[in-house]
Amino acid sequence: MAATAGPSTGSGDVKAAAVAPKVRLQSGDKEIFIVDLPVAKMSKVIKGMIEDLAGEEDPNWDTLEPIPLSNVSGPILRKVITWMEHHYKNDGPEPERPEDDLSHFTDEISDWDEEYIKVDQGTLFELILASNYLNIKKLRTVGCKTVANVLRKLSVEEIREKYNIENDFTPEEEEAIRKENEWCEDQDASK
Amino acid sequence: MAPPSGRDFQASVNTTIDKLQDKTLLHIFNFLEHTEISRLAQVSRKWYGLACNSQLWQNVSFRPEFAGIVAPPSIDKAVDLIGRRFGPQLKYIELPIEHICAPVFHELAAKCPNLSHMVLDFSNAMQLHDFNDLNAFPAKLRTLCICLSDVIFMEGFMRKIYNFINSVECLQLIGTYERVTEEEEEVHETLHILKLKSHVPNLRVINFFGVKFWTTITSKPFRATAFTWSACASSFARSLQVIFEDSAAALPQTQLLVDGANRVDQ
Repeated sequence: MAATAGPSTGSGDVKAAAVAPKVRLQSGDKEIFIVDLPVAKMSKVIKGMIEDLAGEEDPNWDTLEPIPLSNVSGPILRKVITWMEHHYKNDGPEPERPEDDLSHFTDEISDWDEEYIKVDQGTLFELILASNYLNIKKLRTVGCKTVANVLRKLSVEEIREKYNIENDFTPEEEEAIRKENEWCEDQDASK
Repeated sequence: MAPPSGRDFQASVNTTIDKLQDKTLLHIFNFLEHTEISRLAQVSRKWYGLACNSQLWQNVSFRPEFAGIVAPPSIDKAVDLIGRRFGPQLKYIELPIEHICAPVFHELAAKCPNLSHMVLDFSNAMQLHDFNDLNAFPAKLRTLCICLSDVIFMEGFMRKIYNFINSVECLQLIGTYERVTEEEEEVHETLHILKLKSHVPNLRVINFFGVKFWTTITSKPFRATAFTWSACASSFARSLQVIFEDSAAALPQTQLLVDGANRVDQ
């Protein structure tokens, strides 16, 4: 994958792809995005909605109502569209994979994705939520792996602090759970 | 051109990890090692519950030298983990010699009905546990991998488990050929293949690696549909060839894959 290829600008650049039908996507805060149809279909949920709306006939895409994506805010949707456009251009549509496919464990995060996902913590979680909601598996994997890579570097206390998680164990419970898990701690520390 | 960074949107900075569904957090945990998951268990009650989710413990290896987690310090601890953490989701386990014992097998048989792949690593064994009271063993194994020891006579153990392993379809025997340096070392019978055969009617694939001798020569066809072996002694390979030829006559679909049978046998 060409890591140097820049993403296009999110919403509709009309002269670039005059032939491709375009759909309008509406964010939760009512922002409208005009996106190439095959790009939008990178999201399984949008794909399903388009198929429901379009039915059997090839619809007039210009008059079709915008597709409402009420759970995604405008800024996040813009960022998700950037991801879909880049990956559509470079990888084509996401291939169907069987449920028990494990390739997402071994696939490396690409340089482009790594750069893409360098966002603040809140945006990262929003992107994971959006990829969940829109069913874009690969984006979800990139987000989840990124969080996992942060978690693996932090101690218990650092995790609580970074993610604002309350330690709700009683001291007795905490001790018991520490004991329960300490058998592999040495190995963990030696890595 | 680099992708646009997220710094230009500020709308979502308050979203916390707590907003993620449990399913998503599990997905994140799934990318981590078992040692790391054990650390996350200590963060909060919710995370403890997630870290103990048996979905995360479907494939467990207690062989740290082969990318596994360090073996629990005691058999009691191993039994506790099997029952409380692995449970019905456990599909694959690798046991080192110190945990190849009756209590561990009993717990696996009782708590892990979906266990289908097991590796028993006898390779460092100096002696075996006592299996006289072994009365249960995982009964749905499809793949059984046995790493042989060069000092242990295996038949005593095998005799105990024959009755439980009739579901096995793939048998892998890892020998010790590569570790032997002295000539004329005393040779122990590793596995009695003929006896094994009558107890594993579904066996389709046998893989041998580094098995250095073969004493059971039979003229009866061995009903397996694939043999592979690599890094085995040529005397072993020759013996196997005899069995294989008979098998091939009886079962024309039998595949024979030989890799390096002579390469290591100088």
